Amino acid sequence: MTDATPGNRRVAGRPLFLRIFALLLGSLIAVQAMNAILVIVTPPPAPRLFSLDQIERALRGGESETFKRSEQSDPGVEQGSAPRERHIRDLLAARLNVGPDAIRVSLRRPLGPRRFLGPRPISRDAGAFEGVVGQFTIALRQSNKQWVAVSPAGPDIAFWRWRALATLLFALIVAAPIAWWLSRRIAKPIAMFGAAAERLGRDPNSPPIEMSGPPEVAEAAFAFNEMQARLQSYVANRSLMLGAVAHDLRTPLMRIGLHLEHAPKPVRSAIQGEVGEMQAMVAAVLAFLRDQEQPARRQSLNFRAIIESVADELADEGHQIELVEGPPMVVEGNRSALKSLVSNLMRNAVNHADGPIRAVLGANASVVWLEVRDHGSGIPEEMLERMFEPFVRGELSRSRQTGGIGLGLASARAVARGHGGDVTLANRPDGGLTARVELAR
Amino acid sequence: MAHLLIVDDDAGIRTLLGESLRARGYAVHLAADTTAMDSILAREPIDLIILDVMMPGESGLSACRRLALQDGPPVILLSARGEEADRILGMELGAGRYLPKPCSPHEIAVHVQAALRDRGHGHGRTGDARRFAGWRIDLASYELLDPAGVLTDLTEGEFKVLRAFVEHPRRVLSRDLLLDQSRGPDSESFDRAIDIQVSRLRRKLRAPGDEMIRTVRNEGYMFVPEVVRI
Repeated sequence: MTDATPGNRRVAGRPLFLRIFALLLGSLIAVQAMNAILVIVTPPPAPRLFSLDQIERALRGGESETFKRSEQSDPGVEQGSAPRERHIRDLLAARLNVGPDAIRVSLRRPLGPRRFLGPRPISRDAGAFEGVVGQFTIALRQSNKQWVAVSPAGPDIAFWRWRALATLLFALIVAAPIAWWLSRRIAKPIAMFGAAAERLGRDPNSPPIEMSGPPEVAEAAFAFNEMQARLQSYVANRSLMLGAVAHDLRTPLMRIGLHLEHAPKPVRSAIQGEVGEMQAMVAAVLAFLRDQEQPARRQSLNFRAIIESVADELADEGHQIELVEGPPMVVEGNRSALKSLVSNLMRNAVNHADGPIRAVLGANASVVWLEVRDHGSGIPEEMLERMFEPFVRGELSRSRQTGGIGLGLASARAVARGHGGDVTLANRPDGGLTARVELAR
Repeated sequence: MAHLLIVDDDAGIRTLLGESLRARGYAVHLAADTTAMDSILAREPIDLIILDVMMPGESGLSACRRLALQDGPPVILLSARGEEADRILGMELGAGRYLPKPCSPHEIAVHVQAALRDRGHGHGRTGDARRFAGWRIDLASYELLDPAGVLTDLTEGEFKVLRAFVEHPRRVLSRDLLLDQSRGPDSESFDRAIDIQVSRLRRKLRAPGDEMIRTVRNEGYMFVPEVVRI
């Protein structure tokens, strides 16, 4: 069992839904507050209402604070074609006592619907007042052929709109990183679950996930850890049963051996062969089960010495093994587990290859690696990964003498993974198979 | 005639093994558990105990430790677990030898013979360690540590040759004597010329020349470093 008991649950902070709720509410308030500040702090658009009297005075040279006035040789603007523009031209021409061709009126067209926002003359019917709303330019030809152009001074309404847009942009730039950070925080537990599930898939004994964070996350983490614990106990029960069967077979096997003492020689040697085979199978199952567990005792050891020992044992049995000498390769590990790993790989190689096998040892910053290369026929690519499944053997025709019972590579991989590494198989382009072990340094 | 005591809870193994050893000329006593073992030990002069590890009641390992503390007869542990960790633990607890189940009557007989021969030699008792040239060898647990404290694996053959060397330092040991020392009862696996064992040992000790194990022409080998018992 893991420590995934309710008492250990660490519930920090408010529920996730409250957090999201608060986040949404908070951002709404922040946006509204910013708008309010914009409205209160920034000056409202200047009054854009000008009477025809004012315009008339401006064209004559007065009202210099309200209007920009310039004199030039050309009018600078064309007469607008809209009825309102013509109407204002006519009114001003009458007031100034000039012909309509001496006046040019251009009212700027707004972005929005003209009806509400556009500069427009105030109708005579609305009262005694006559004037223009919004931005405009009106030019008057003077007697000296120079043109005088007037337009309202100060910021116009468009400037005010641009400023509102800029404020929004500024708010976006400020808010984006904060929103990013908060969303990441909320999404983090989900990513954590993904990683934990991935870990569990590879190693049922991976550590339980930490149960901190908002209650929903802690709840889910608790359920996840419970599931993992149940999976572990399920696997453990299966292993225990398999182990018990294999283990209990040893006593009758030994009794058979003892009974055989008095049997006639041909019978004895035949049965001894069979017993030996059964013994090897039992040993393989037990070794496999042992390698599934993390080896308890670790110490720093010279991986090269283990490879040399295994290679020498195989050489004594008449196999040819090339192994180049070199400096010690120190790893933290369990001697007997690593020895069985190396022995599994090398025995596979000598059993399935014609000719000598080659063991190459190396290291980089993070791992110590061993490659066992044979010159056999290799393994079909699609079978490479399956070879690591328990009880899977490369060739169906393979005899038990060479093939064992299909637990060697499964054991080897379990040991390597227990040492922070892995075992992989690859066919070489020049023929033959390479088994590569990596162990964390 | 040597007196053997077989302690095993499995009646089949107990009686069959007993018959087999009796046929080889030993006086055999049988016990089903360690209580029976103790009462037989109290009245018979037992020379060697063959002790099963997994038994109801007191386990073989615990009985083994008790016997070692009382300076009792040598023990051969018989275990169905047959794992190296068990073997090392058994050795550390004072068992001189360790046999995995199942094993043939022949193997057991060979080990019994060897154990009786070794009596009093004190091979592989707890804490029997030596130091030489910065290296440390634990004769009980088969562990060789290099000067940096890194475990260096030895094959059984290499270990036995090295043990012979550290037990007789600075003396010329003949090939025959080394072969005799290194050849265990299960000799088939390393029945090789002693020269090969020595050259492998030199490689493991990272002293390829004569600096640690000197070749003495026509006589044998001599272990050069000073050996300190620790």
